[in-house]
Amino acid sequence: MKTKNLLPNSWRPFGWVLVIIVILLQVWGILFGEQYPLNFGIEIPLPYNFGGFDSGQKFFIIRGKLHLQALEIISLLMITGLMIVGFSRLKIEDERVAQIRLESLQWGIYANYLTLALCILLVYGGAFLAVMIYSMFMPLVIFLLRFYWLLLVAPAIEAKRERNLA
Amino acid sequence: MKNRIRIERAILNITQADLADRLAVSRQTINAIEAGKYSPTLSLGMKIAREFEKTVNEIFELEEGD
Repeated sequence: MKTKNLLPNSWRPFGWVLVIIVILLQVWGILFGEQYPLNFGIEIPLPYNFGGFDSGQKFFIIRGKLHLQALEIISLLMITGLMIVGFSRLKIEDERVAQIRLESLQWGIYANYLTLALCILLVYGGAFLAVMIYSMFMPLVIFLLRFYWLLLVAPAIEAKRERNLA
Repeated sequence: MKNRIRIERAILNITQADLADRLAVSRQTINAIEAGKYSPTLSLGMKIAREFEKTVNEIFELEEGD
């Protein structure tokens, strides 16, 4: 099946490696209080450093610097890994896989924004920052969980049930 | 949607995997179509019918509620 807007299948292992690295870094952070081995900063000159609109600022593009530190690197790795895993072709990419992918993406959006709406009502103060951080990744995580559940886990359970019945 | 894929496979003596290979889809997709859990697109339905040298109407049948 010809598919548009998907990465080649050969990218998929690379995506999983990134996701696994991020999970290991998160575990490291939990165990050692976020003393990541990546705890360094990189300064990259940027044409624009967004710090909020300044009414006194005449030009939209200003000179600034990006401070790329451990948490930023981890977030970028996480997004890149999840996107590659979710949007690279399977070995056999057929129309059912495409449909499951789209439906799972829809589930990810629904679940994320319903949860976020509840949190807007129920969570206040500094804890809401944590909610916003989770909300950056939740659509992709829920999408992937449902996608792989329907493609790998559910058929395996079904096959086992059929073997038991036979 | 009801279908006769399982019967037609039995007549030709081919497995789900054989049919999936011929149609360039996964075996799970053929299994889902046979079980009525997934309705194929028109193009895949026509390819399945062509594989059995039948018309689409001879392989697939609409049920109430479809």
